[in-house]
Amino acid sequence: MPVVEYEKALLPNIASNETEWLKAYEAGGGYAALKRALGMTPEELVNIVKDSGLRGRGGAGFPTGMKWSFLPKGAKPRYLAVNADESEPGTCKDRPIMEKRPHLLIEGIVCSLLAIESEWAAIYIRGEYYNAAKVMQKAVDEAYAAGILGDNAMGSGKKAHIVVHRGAGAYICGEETSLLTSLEGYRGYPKLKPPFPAISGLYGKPTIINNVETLACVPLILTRGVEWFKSYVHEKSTGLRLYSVSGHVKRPGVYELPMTVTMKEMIYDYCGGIRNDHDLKFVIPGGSSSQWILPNNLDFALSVEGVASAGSMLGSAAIMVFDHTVCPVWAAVNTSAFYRHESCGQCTPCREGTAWMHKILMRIENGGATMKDLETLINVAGDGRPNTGMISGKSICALGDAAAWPVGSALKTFRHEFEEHIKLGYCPYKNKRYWMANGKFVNETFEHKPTWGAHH
Amino acid sequence: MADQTVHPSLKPGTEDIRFFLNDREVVGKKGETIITVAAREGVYIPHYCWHPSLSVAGNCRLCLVEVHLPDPRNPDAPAKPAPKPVIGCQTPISNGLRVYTESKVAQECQQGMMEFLLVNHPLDCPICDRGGECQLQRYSMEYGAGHTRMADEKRKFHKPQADPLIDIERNRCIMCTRCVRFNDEVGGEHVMGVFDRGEGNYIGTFGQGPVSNILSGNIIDICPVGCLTSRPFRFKARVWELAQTQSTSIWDASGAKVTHWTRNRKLMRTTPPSRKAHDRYTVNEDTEEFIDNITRFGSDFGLHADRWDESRIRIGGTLIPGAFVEAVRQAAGSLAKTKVNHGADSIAVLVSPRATMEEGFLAAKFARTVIGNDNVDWRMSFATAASADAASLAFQHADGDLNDGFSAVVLVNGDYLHQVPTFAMRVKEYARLNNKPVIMIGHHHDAYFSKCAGRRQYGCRPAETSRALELLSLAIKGDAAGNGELAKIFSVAESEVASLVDLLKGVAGKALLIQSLEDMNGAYLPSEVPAALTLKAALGATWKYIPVLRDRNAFGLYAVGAQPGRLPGSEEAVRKAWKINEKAQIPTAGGQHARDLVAAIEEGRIKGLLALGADVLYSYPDQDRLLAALEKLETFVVSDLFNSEITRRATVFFAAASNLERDGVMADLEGNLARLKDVDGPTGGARPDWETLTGIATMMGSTAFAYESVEDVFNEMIRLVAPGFRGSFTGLELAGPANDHSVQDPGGARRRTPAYNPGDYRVDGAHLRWSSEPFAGAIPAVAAEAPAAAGQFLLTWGEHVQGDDYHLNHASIAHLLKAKPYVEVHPADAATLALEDGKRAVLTVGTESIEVTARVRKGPAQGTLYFPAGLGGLKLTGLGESLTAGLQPALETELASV
Repeated sequence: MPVVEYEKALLPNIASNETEWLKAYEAGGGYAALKRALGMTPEELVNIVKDSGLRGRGGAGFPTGMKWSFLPKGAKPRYLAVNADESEPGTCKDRPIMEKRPHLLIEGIVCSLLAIESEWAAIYIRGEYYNAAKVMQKAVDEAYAAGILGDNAMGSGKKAHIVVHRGAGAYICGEETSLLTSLEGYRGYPKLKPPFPAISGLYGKPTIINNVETLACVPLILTRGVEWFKSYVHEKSTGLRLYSVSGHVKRPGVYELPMTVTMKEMIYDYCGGIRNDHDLKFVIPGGSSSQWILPNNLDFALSVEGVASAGSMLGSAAIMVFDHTVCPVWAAVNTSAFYRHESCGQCTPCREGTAWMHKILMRIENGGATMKDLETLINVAGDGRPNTGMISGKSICALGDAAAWPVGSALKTFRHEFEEHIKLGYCPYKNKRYWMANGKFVNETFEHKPTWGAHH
Repeated sequence: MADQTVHPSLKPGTEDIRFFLNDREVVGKKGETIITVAAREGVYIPHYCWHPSLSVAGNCRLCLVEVHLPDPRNPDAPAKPAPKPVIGCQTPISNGLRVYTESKVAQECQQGMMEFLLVNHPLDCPICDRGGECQLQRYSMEYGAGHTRMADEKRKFHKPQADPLIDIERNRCIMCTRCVRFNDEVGGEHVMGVFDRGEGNYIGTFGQGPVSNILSGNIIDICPVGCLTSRPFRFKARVWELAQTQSTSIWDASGAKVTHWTRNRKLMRTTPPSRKAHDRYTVNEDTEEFIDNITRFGSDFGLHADRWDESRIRIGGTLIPGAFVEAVRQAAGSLAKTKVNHGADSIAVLVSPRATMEEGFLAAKFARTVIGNDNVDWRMSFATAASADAASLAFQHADGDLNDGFSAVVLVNGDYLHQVPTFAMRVKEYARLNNKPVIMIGHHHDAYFSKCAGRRQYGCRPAETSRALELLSLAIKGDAAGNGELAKIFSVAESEVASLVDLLKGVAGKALLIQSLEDMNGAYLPSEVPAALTLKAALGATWKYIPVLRDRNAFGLYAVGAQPGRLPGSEEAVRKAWKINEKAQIPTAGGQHARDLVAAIEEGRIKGLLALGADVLYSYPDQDRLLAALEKLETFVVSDLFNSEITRRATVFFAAASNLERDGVMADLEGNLARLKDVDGPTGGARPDWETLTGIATMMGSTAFAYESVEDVFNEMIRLVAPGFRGSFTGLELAGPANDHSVQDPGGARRRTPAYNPGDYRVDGAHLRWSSEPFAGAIPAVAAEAPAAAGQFLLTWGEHVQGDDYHLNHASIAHLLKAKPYVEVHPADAATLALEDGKRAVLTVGTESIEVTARVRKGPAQGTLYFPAGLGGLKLTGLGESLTAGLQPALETELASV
């Protein structure tokens, strides 16, 4: 199938190693959107974003304009928190924006500050993104020096300040309310909702939290127009989207594409197919917390609605592709290990459930599990749909759901392989088992070849 | 965690909300949460992290309930099930909401959470100290699955040795964070926190230090599982073996109620009252039911090895044990002999401030009728006799209480948390949670109130406090001429004074003026009390006055007339009750003040002394002088518990009954009566003081002491003291669970309504109140303060409940309960001294030096230091005089840090 080329608006020079500093950005027509925004009222700005149909690019896909309009009238001060704590496994789309086009983000932030009538924004950057933080800080300094930021932004008399804040390596701080508690200097614990951050957020003041990519779209909407943005549309999803594709494809990377592209096109056309022309085993379409998708079900558009129709979610648009060499049990173990490590431990179901799931999965993978354990695991993790099992829908924030869904969907999708593991007592992909006997670790290797798996 | 507090929008309002609880229509107020309304309606929702006195954490997820939401656009349509269950502790009620607490969804959630909580919790209840009163056990029976599916190894934590009183067993922790929130919010100190993350989460103290505040013991009670247990109590007994006695604290003048848990008459532990029907072995959950560490851990002094439980008579130079009757005969004989030889005025009676009202009443009656003088007193620690009288004036005008809260509070001086801990806690918590103004005036401000957002502090020198109060009352009456002087005293701008006056004038509804009578042993009370009463009169009738004295039953002893110049009731009533004929005089004048007693003994004016409790003598600052004076007495009859320096000088010693062995009534500083209840009568040859006094009086020929029981004394006393009292002696006893030892099936108790009702304490007419007339007396002038030498600070001080105390010294773990010496320094002074908060410093008073911890805070006024008297063995013997002190940072040598 021929590969259709689309324009690159967010990351036009993604192949280049150069960072686009202020001079280059302005030369390319940068900060025109901000100039336009300064001439508009906040209501007009919010309406433009509402009209564009821009939806949050962080994971939940909430309409951005509607989020902005939730702020209580007249309540000041109010804050904008920029969620750059991009830690969802598989996701790497905010990093190129910050590292290559920092001023696009700054322009988006300032436009958004004008729209929500705020004066302060904080960029909460993932601790491991050392370079991104360094680039952002330098760009912010440039913007201050150029008078774009400060007490008199672009000579408009309005205040616009940006604080670059580095996290310290906690996945949970990407959750919007724990991002705020972390910014305040407390443990990064999610807050109870309600009140929602738009009512009581940072320091108890109304706060909007937006993803980096979401804010980077705002200047594009302002310069190129709502119609341009809406020209890329699939159902209610508009605009171009950054897809982070990883795993066993020939050309992994960040792709900027409209949301009409299907999963099949993405894998086989844009990414060149599976490595070594292996068979495809399963796909994770939206970051590690989304439900797994089997190869017989790839003809869906990569939009919020399209992925939902396939029984999963678009999330942060991080597509992970697994070929037939991958043991799905091991993939589930690895996923649950991540959530066990990253659970903040505040609430019971997530703190205890993530660890318990991982412990059971480890036994299934390495030997020592029974069919009863499988039943327990299904009971705990649910079947991959929201609000099933003992964790999902019962925790304070969505991390509990994110931990339960992939395990639940793995069990649903590859239950026969889980059962095979238990029956064999070891992983047929590794032909090995590690288990405790008489207080010692036993490391056994088996010659047995499974009837499925590599040749399936 | 400040970020976890309830948002103001969730504070209960007044608007009625109608919703459905398990298909029954109920009404609540707007902003109330499901769990509070359900508890009121008798529907129990299980919970661990939620506590009515603490902020909502919402982390245990056990209170998840199923809700059905009405369609706002179509109210007639049936409510639709919400996609997720919601937590009852945090979700506000709304009109038309349908809440199901026992539906399939809710039960699945409860069962799931119980299973999760038990995944890593050891299942070894038989060796856990919380067994039998554990919420995890109880809920496991009621809501759990009954078996475990956990086949893996459980997580294990290192066990810290952080606090000498509180054992932290992290393996049993369920991370409800009640202890963390209690210390942050109620205790007022951020000493505990959550460490690590995920399943590795554990609670601990910062820097492995102790949980140092005086209310810390309460985290043992509010811990729902076996994580935090009492070190002195753990593994000593099983709760179902223990008998419970509802009594009251003898340390805390706030009138804290307690439960003594005893086995074979031996005190095993003391907790706040346990009065919930379904929590028979656990303590309940109401704010007012917290107690301080001294009450909790120090009530066992009656078991001390130095206890003398037989009467003793001095024969030749030694005290020989003898029968009670023999001792009574000897005491009566020597008192009569002294009276004949030196006159009636040569005998004085002293009463312990921890005596019950009955004991004080009998002492007052004994002095007035049997001895025939006015020499009865309990106020030994005051700086001067005038200070003691000023305190009495304060009691005469006391009319405030904390019932129904307050709209503003003015605190004059005081270290309330360390003098009346639970009273301070209740005032602070009410002000903090309801955002009421807290105005602190005087030379010392309690740093405990620093978390109240409505706090305003106006510091001044000790000698200026009364002038400041006087000027403030003038300003409130409209005379702004003194505002300039007032601003100078407080070192603030004049506009600030004007805003303070406006604030005070604008207070609507009941407000409180609270004055500490403890500071500097009341040296400035003669002018401070009239000044405070003048301010109260100026503020108007809605302002109520509470004087605060650390002495437990000060208010009650004042009421029963156990002090010179005061009778328990009107002269006519007293004459009738005490059967004194018309012609005889009741002595009410010329009484010997306890404060001047030592001087009177030294001068030979007092030859005989009857002391009920040696602690009253121990409270005299200059013990060497006191002991020398006691040697000069001809007759020294003392009724006390211990063999001590003081009692060894007795001519007749009576073995008194301890706090667990006697019965009676005590009044707290709000004027409420509480029953001190004996567990099972006195031990050995000990006798309660009412019996001793009755015996001596009868032996000395009086016929007016024909009491059969302490209840007889109470009935005679209460008719004089509170004629309006309509209760009974037994009616003052706290309602508690029955002391039956049958094991109850916790599952059966599930739907019982809680028996607790805050009104339980109140008995009609049991409030002690006298004057309703506004004070109109003069305010005596204060002598100007002598300027301190360069480098010297004026020393101010106050008593500390964890300091040197006669009874506390005999507690089994007294060494752990004593506070480490510290001195409070104003930040400006600390800056000149280059002192930092928490650093060691050397305090020098006269020739004595002591190493203390510096606490830098806006407690004392600039140029003064605040030192809690009695800490660290530094004796401030020159009480009543201006003391100056030097303070220097301690040398940080390598040896010192070792």
